[in-house]
Amino acid sequence: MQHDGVPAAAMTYDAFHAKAQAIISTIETVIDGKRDAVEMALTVLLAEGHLLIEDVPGVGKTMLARALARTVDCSVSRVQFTPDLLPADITGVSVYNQAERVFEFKPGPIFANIVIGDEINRASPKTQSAMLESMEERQVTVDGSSYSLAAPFIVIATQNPIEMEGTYPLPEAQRDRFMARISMGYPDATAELAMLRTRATSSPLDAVRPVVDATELGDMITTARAVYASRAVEQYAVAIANATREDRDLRLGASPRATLQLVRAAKARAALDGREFVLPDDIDALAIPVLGHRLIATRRAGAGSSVLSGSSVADIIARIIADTPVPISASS
Amino acid sequence: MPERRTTGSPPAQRTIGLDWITSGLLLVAVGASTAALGSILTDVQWWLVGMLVATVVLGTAAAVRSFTRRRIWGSVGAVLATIGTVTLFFAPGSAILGFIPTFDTIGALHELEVAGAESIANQSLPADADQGIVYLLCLGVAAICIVLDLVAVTLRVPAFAGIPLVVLLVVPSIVDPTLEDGLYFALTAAAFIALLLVRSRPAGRGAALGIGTAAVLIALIIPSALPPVTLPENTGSGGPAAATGLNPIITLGDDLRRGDPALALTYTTTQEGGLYLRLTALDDFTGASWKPSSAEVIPGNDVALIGAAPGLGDAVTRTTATTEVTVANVLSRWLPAPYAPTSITGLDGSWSWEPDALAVRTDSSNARNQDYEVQSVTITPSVDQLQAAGTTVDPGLERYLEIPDDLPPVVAQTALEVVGGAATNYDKAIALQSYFLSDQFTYSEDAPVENGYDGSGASVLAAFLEAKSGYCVHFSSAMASMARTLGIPARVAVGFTPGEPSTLPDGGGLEYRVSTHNLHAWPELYVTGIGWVRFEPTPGRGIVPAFAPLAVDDPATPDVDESVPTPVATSTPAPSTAPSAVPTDVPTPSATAGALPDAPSRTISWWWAVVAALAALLLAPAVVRGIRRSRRIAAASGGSAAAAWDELRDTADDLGLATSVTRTPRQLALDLAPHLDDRGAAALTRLRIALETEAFHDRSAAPAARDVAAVTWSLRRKAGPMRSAVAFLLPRSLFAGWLPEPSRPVE
Repeated sequence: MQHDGVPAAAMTYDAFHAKAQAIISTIETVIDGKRDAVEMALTVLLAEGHLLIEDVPGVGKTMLARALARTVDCSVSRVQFTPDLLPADITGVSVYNQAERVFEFKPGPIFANIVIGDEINRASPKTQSAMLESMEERQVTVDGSSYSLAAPFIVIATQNPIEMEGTYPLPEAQRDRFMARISMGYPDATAELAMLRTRATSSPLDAVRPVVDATELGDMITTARAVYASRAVEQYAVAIANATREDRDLRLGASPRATLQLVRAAKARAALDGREFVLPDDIDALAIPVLGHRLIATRRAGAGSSVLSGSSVADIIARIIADTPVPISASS
Repeated sequence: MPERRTTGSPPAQRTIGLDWITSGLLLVAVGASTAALGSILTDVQWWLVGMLVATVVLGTAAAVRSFTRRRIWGSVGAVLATIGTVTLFFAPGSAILGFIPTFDTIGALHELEVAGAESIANQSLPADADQGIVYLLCLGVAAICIVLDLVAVTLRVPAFAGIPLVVLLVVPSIVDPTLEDGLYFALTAAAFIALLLVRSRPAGRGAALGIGTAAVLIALIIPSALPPVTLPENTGSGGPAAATGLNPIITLGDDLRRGDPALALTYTTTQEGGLYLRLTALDDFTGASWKPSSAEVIPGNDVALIGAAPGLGDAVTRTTATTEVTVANVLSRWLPAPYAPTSITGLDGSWSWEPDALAVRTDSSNARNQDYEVQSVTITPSVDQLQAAGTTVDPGLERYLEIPDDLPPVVAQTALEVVGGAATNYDKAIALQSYFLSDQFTYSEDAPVENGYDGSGASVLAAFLEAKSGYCVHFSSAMASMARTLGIPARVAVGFTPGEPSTLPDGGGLEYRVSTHNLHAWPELYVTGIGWVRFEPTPGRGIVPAFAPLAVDDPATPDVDESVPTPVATSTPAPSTAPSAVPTDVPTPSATAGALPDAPSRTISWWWAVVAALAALLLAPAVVRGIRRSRRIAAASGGSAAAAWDELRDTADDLGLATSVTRTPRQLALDLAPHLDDRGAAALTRLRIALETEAFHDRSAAPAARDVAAVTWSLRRKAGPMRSAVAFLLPRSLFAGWLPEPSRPVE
C-alpha cells in the first residue's frame, strides 16, 4: 500500500533492520554499554538529521561520532573547533591558481558525507554560524559561487555543557538546526571495567570496518523516509509541540521545524525497529532528544538544574508526554 | 470513545480556590438537606446551630488544606474541628479551655446522647428540638460534613457525595412519609450538580451534568411512577397492622385513623364479654408528654409467674380468666395481655414483666405472630370498697402524682370544678369520668389533629379541654392528668379494647377479633386497698367499668349499681356491640376513611419505591456499563480494534488499574502485564498489534472478540472477587473524566 507523498522504500524493512543491527553491533565494539545513545545516534543518521552530542569531557562523545562515521564507507572529515577557527577553515577558500590564472575553490572539511565537529561550542559565534548555515542549506557560498554539499550530508557535533569554561553557547536558532541532542552519560561499572581491558593495548576504533557504503546509506535514508506516519501519530506530535508552546514552565516552545524533525526521526526509529509505520511510542522515545535542546525553561523551572543543562527541560517534556492523550484512531 | 481520547487537555492544576468553592457548595448542600428536617422539628434554632457546626467543620478542612500539601490533613482537621466544636457547644464545662475534651466530656456527651435518643422516641411530630436532639443533629451534620469533605475533596470522587446527602434528605420522609420536601430536595440537587461541574475536569463536564441530572430525575420520578403497594386486609402477612415504638401512644392516632382496619390479634377467653388487652402503662408525665418510665427489661422476671398486682387487697373480689391470644401483626416490644396477668405461657423469645405496670416486655423478640396463654385476675371491687379508701394514698406512689411544671393551670382548675365536693378519691374519679362521658365532649379522631394536637402533651390538654373534642389519647391523658392534680395516683394504659366476638364454627365458644381500630388508651387510677383501677372516659369507646358507671346528673353521688354482679355491667350500652364499637360510634367514619391519607399503605409503597429506586440506582452503572461493553464487543467482532481496546482499557479502569489515555498501547500493555496470566498476556499482545495496525498503519486488523474476553477474564481473575464485584457495581470507567486519575498504581 503506497501512501501519497511518501517515497517508495528502496529496500525491505527486514533488510533495513538487518543492516541497522549490523551497524549497531559494530559501534558497540567501540562504545560499551551505551546502546541507547548508539541507537539514537543511528536514528538521527538514518533520518538524515544532524546530531549534537552533549556531555562532560571524556565520556566518549567523539568516539561515538567517529565510530558511527567509520561504519559507513563514505567521506568523513573531522573539525576540531577552537576559538581561533575561521569560517573559511570549514567551508574552504578560493585560491589563485597561478598556473591557470584562475581562482580555484579549495573545498573545506564540510565537503564530506559525515562531518564530525568536535567541541563545536569552543569556536567563535562567527565560525559556528558559518557551519550551521551550511547545515541547513546543504550548500556553501564562497566568493559569490555556491557549492552543493555531498549527499547524504550529516553533521555530528559534540559539545561540552555550556557552563563549562571557554565555551560560546550556541544560540537557540542554531541549536534548532540539530535534529537531536543526546548525552552519553557515564558508563556503568561493568562497562567501564570492560573498557579498561579493551583499551589497554590498542584503539578499538582501528578495528572498525565499514558495514555500509554511501549508496546503501542513501537507500536506508530513503527507506526510512518511506515509513508511514498515520494522521493519529501526526496529531500526537502536533499535540506535544503545542503543549510545549502553552506550558507555563517553558519560555520557548517547539518550532514547526522541531515537529517536522520529530516525525522524521520517529520514522527512522520505526524503520530501525523493522516497522513500516510510526507508533506513538516512537514519538515518546524521541521527544526529549529531539525537543530538549530547542526548548528554554523559564527561570523558575530552570533553577536547580545540574551541570547537565536542560535536565529540567527534560523533566518538563516528560511531564508533557505523560499528560498528552494518545489518539488511538484517526480513521474513526 | 476515541473522541474523548483525542480531545484531552492537560489536567487543570489543583487550585486552593477550587477547594474553597467545593467546600462552599458542600455547605449549601448540607444546609438544604438539613433544612428538610424542618418538617419534623419545630423552630429554626437547631438549623442555625447545625449550620454553625457545618461551617466550622468544612471551613477548617478547607483552611487546613490551603496550608498543607496533602489533602488528607484537611479531613483530619475536620475531625478535630468536630470534636472541638461539639465539646464547646454541648459540654464546655467539662473541657479544658472549653473545647479540649476530657473523660468527663465523654460522659456528659453520652448523657446528652441518651437524652436525645429518649426525646426522639417519646416525642410526637413535629418534635421540639431540645438539647439532646440538637446534639445528635450536630453530630450527624458534622459526620456528614466529614464524609462529604472526604469524598469530594480528599478522595476527589465528588459523585459519591450524593450518597450522604440522600441519607440526610430521606430521614424526614422515613419518619413521616406524607411529608413534602421538594424544595429542599431541589436545592440539594442543584448544589450537588454544581459540585460535579466544579470538580470535574473540563472533558467530563458534559457527562457530569448528564449523569447528575439523570440521577436527580430518576430519584424524583421513580417513587411516583411505581404502583402503590397496599396492605392485604385482615391477614397476618404484609406490613405490621400496628407498630409501636418506645412510646406506643405516638403512633396510636395514626393506627386509629387508617381507613381499613387491619387484624391485630384474636383471642378466646373464659372471661365473659372479653377483656381489655394492655400493652403497657405510661406513668411518666414529667416531660412534655406521657411516656413509659421503665425502659429497662428486668431479665429475672420470668413471665411464667408474674408478681401480684400492686396494691390489691385481699378483700377485693376477683375472678381469674384464661385467655389464649394469637397475635397476628402487632409489631411491638410489649405483649398484649389482660390486667392483671399472673402467668403467661407459650411465648417465643425472652420476655419479662415490669413490677409496677405489670407490662410484659422484651428487648430481643417481638409480639408479632406470638401465640400464648395468659392467666389473669380481673378485680370487681364494690363501691363500698372503692369509697372506703377515702383520700389516702399509699406511700411510694409519689411518682404517679408528678405533673410537669408547665402544665396549663386550666387543667387543675377544671379538675377542681368538676369534682366539686366529692369526698373520696373514687368519687372524684367517677366525677371526672362522668364529665368526659357527658355530652359536652365528642369523640373525634381527626378533627384536632392539625397543629401538633395529636398527642398527650401538656399543652395539648388545655386545647382539648377547650375544644372538648378528641379521641382516647386526649380523654385518657386528660383524666389521668387531672387526677394527678387532685392527688390521685394515675397513669395512662395503652392497649386494645375487647374487640368483636364471633362464634367459632365448631361451637367452641367465642373468638374475639381485635383490629387496629381497637387500639385504645385509658386511665388507670390507684385506689388504696384495691390497686390500679381502670376507668373509661372516652365516649363511645370501650366498656365503662361496672363500678364506674355512665354520667349522672350529680357526679358527687353517682348512681352505682351496688350489686356489681358481673364484670360487664348491664347498664353499659349494649355490651355485645360495644366491643366492636369502632366504625358505628366514630362520628364520621366514612369521611374519616375517605379524607385522610391511608398512611400505612403509603408507607409501604414508599418503602418499596425507595428500595426499587435504590436498587435501580445501585445497578444503573452496571447496566450502562454492560450496554457499552456489548456494543464494543459487537464493534470489535465487526473489525474495530479500537473498540476492543477501549473495552480492555475500561475493564482495567473498572478494576482500579491505571489506564490513562496518555499511555500508548505498548505502554498500557506493559502496565497491564503484571495483572495478566499467560493466556491473557498473549491475547493482549494480539489485540495490541491489531490496534497498532489499525490506528497507526491505517489497515484493517480483524481483532478477535474472544481475545477481549480472554484478557478481561484474566484481569478479573487476578484482581480477585471483591475488586471484580466493585468493578461490576461501580465501574470507574463510566465516570472517566471526573474521577481522579488512576487510583491503584501499577505495581
